Amino acid sequence: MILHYKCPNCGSDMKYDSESGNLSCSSCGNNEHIDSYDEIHIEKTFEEEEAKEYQCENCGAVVITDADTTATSCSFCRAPVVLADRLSGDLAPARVIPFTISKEEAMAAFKKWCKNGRLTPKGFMTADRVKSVTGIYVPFWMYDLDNDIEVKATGTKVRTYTRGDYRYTETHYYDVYRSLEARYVKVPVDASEKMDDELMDKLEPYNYSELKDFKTPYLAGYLAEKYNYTDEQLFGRVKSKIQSFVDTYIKSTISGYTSVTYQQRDIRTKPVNSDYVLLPVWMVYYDFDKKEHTFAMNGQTGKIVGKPPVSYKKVALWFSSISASVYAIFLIITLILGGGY
Amino acid sequence: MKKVLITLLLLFAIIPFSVMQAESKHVYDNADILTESEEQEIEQLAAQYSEEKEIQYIILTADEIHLQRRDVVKYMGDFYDEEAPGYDKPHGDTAMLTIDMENREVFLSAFGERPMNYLDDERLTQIREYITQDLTNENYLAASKKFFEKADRYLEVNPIINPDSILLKWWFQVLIAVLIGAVIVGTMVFNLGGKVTVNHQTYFDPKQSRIRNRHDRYVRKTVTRTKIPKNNSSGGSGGGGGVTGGGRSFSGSRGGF
Repeated sequence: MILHYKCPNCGSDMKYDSESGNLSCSSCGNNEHIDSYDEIHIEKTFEEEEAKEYQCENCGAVVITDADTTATSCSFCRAPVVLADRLSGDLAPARVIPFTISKEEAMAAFKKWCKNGRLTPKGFMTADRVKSVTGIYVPFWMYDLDNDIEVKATGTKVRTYTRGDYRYTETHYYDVYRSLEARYVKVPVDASEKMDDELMDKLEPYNYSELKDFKTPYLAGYLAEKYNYTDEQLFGRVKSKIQSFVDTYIKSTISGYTSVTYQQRDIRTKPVNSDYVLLPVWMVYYDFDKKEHTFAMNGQTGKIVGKPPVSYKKVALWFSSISASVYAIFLIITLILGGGY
Repeated sequence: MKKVLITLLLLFAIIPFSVMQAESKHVYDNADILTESEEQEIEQLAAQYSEEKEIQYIILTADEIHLQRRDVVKYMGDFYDEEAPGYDKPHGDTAMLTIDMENREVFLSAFGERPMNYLDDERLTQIREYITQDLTNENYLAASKKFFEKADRYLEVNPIINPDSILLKWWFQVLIAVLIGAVIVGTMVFNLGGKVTVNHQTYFDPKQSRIRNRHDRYVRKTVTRTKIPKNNSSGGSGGGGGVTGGGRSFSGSRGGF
């Protein structure tokens, strides 16, 4: 099934506008609120199941997608297309955070970011060879996790004092026990095979107050993917992701000791809930020095991640100037104190 | 006539003073442990250093006869009271190296507000430890020279810092500067791809998290004791400053050799 969002006014294709949060028509400028948009105007075409080729209702061209795509645009007439059969049943996302940063804003923000690159080569900073900027709704699993924690440890408190010619070190040993419950909610893990895990992790955090119930019109005009991994398959990854959080929480409950040695640490993590959500990401592909560099921008907060090229000349320059100025400060202090060598 | 008389009087008033300044002695080798030429050399050096830092350097040696059963500190104090040395005035700024040949003890002392500040007990101890080896080897010329050199440098260095501190060594400062540069630039390179900005509280739900059960039970205690080492390096006692019989205070450091 393929969806087109037709303008009730003029009949053109509408797409999601990140600024207003509405569907907007590029021909007549009409705005339609997503909640009140009448479904009559959604043009539905049914295709054979699991098809990889769809036909654009507008121009009749063949919309060729790869197996994971859930939203794209017709390569011929650019009309936004949502592939509804890939968004239903098990594949129906529960929630979505819509884009709040438009393509132009994303591009401007990326250029600004490149200009601030203190260690990147000069040619890179101009950002004039950006190949493409693509808005993608990336599939994520959002987990609510309950942690059942039991900790046995030995804590010590050390006190030192002097009596006469002797220094006494007094060590008190304590038997420490904690039974804890720690809940982490809406921990996101990207479920797309194509996306680099490290890159996606660094895009966090998202502002969850803008988390909306999923509706297909949000996808109009963007690319979207369906998940490649189920929530069960990614459970190990989310578990390792919260590991350090749990450790910090445990430590925060055991305070006032000089040292703590753990005898036993049982952490049982249970998934309470997992939601399939789509989160907005701008992918920026930049050709520089015969290599393609990939950057990702949080489509909601504008945070940019991705490794830019490093100019060794600039690294050397920064290193030497920082070291030289630190040494100069030391030298001045030394001279003020009169400790000239 | 009257004018001439006043001028003459003034001249007489100044001459003895300037003569006394020029003749001010720095070496009192009562124990006769220095040769004639050594004495001259030290005298010359002392005069030089004295002028430079506006402090009177004195090398004082004593044997059984001069000590008259007095302690080296008492002997040094009596000497200062009687001879009234000082660069700026009698009983003025003075740095002294007193060598007691009878008990083979050395005492370093400083008089006056500025010298006592810049050459406090601790710093004098550092100098004493530095020269003790030469004294043991009976190389009194070298010991005196080193005393002048060290004291001269210490008088320049602000009292808030140990003049021999590693913090003042150029190679240490270069090392630290290079380390700081490396750490800062290293962090910059590391964070180039974007920082992780979530922490343990980002996804934590305090409403549904709790401490179900806890206890902290005292089990036992152990006590260990170590003897506090006395800092009496190079054999002698630490000593310190004090007040002379005439009521003049000084900083000092005492030790054997």
